[in-house]
Amino acid sequence: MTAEPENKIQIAESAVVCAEAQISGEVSIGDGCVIHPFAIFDAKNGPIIIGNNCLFEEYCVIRNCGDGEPMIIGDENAFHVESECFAKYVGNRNLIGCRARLDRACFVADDCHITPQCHVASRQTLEQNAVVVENGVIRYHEGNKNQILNGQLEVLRNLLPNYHHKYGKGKKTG
Amino acid sequence: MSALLQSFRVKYECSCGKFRNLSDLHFCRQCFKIKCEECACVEIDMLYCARCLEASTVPEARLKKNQCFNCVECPMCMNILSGRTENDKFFLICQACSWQTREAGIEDRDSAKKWPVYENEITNEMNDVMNHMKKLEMIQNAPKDSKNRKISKGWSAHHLPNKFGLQSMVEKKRQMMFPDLTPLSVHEPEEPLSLEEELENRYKSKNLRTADQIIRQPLASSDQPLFPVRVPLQGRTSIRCDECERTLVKRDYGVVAYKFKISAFAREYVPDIRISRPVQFENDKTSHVLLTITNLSSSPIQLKISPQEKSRDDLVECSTPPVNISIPCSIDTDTAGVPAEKSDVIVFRQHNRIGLNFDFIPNQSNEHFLALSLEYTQNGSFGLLADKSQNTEEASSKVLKANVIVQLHN
Repeated sequence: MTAEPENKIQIAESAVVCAEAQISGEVSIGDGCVIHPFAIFDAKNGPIIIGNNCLFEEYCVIRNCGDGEPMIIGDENAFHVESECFAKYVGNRNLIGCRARLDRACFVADDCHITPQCHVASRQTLEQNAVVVENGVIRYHEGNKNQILNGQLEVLRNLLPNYHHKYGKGKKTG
Repeated sequence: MSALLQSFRVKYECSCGKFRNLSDLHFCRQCFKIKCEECACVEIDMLYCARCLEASTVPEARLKKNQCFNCVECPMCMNILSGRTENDKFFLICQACSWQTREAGIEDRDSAKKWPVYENEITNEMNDVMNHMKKLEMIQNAPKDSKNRKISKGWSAHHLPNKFGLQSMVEKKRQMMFPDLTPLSVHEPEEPLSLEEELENRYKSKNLRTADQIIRQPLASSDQPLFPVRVPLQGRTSIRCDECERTLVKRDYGVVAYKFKISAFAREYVPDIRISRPVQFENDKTSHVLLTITNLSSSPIQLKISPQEKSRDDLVECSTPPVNISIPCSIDTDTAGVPAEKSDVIVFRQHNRIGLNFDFIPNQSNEHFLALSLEYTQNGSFGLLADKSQNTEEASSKVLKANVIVQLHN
């Protein structure tokens, strides 16, 4: 019997994390991140490290499925509604569409775009600028950077605290 | 939602013999027949772009090659491209797969419209050939035309002095009838790419093209990038009865309008039957099914429902005798207080709705269908709508028939 690991949650001050988000295990959230209600972060099998200015929408699941190794998510990534991420490493400026899934121990480089409902297979490596169009069909766009979500994040940072409590400060609703 | 209403479990027989949902059927008021889209004439009413809702006439659409000139689609995933500005210049980007016009090597433009497409290289040559053929046709028809023209053979304007400019007029006509022919140069075929080269070209780039992408841009060769695709036009249909050629469904004028100018849907004339409770099956024992019958028409209906005999294996045997009922229409408020006649068959009565209980014995197979035949007369709606030359009384007392099959199993 091993005791359940203590929750070591580090949230940067400028990040907006809603109280309804479920966070367990060792999770560190960088500057300017926005986490919507009902997002799930499960770091029971290993820590999750999230960079700056990431967006996590409702019901997205970030779960570390490794054996104690950290899961690293870079800067300016957007995880849309009901997306699932079990990846080992996610780079910068990636866009994960609604209900898309990054399977166990896959590796996603920078500027990738996973379109809605598409899967990245287990242990697959997505190179830079890859677009997963359908399941198994990968296209590369040439040297374009994904648009950074600064405007959207700015609005959400101002708007979300008006309707939700911040994580760890105040009651959960719903 | 459709599973909840379960309208698909009740099928009506069309006049062509097919069984379909009531919502898919039309009713011709002149022939008193149920028509489906397959046995009626479907005509294209209007051509329009589904994206910008711009309507175009048929010759216009032919000129545009059945494409909208303003809207473009992503060549990769067929989603609509949206414009974006950078330094006061436009480029297009696909929101779904992040394809950009810059990837195709198209420079940013001043306006978001008119993006390049691949044109056929030999268009001019083709036009020349067409013109040449037209001239040849004219020469071929010239003797016929001059015969039809009824000019006395003895007289000719060639004998006249060129005093009044007649000579030149005649010359012009002659020129028109026998145009000068300049021989066209022969089209020299180009060597097409060999299969090896084609395949090499395809594998050169990182992105392989799917068959769909190639079919949508047949003019782009394998070493050229794909350009944005113009959105194909769509047609809006109107439906006409195939026997009396009267219009059954016609949309209102304008693309944006969603109302109907003429609509003759079967649900407005034929009683609507639904299963209202889940059916309980007991093997070899009498089971019950509760059907609700709704009158959605504008006049009361006299209805006789009789179960059909078991003619197929999957039909169930129904022991309920034929039922005669009258259902008031939904508009009529006077008949709201119809005496609640209740019997073993009639379970409830609610304004223009009646619940009927049918007893049946399930068959041995897994599929259970209940066949009903309806005979009904309507008082008002046909008298008003039928042709004036027809006897309205005859039309109103006409007994209409419909065959219905109810799917009892899930």
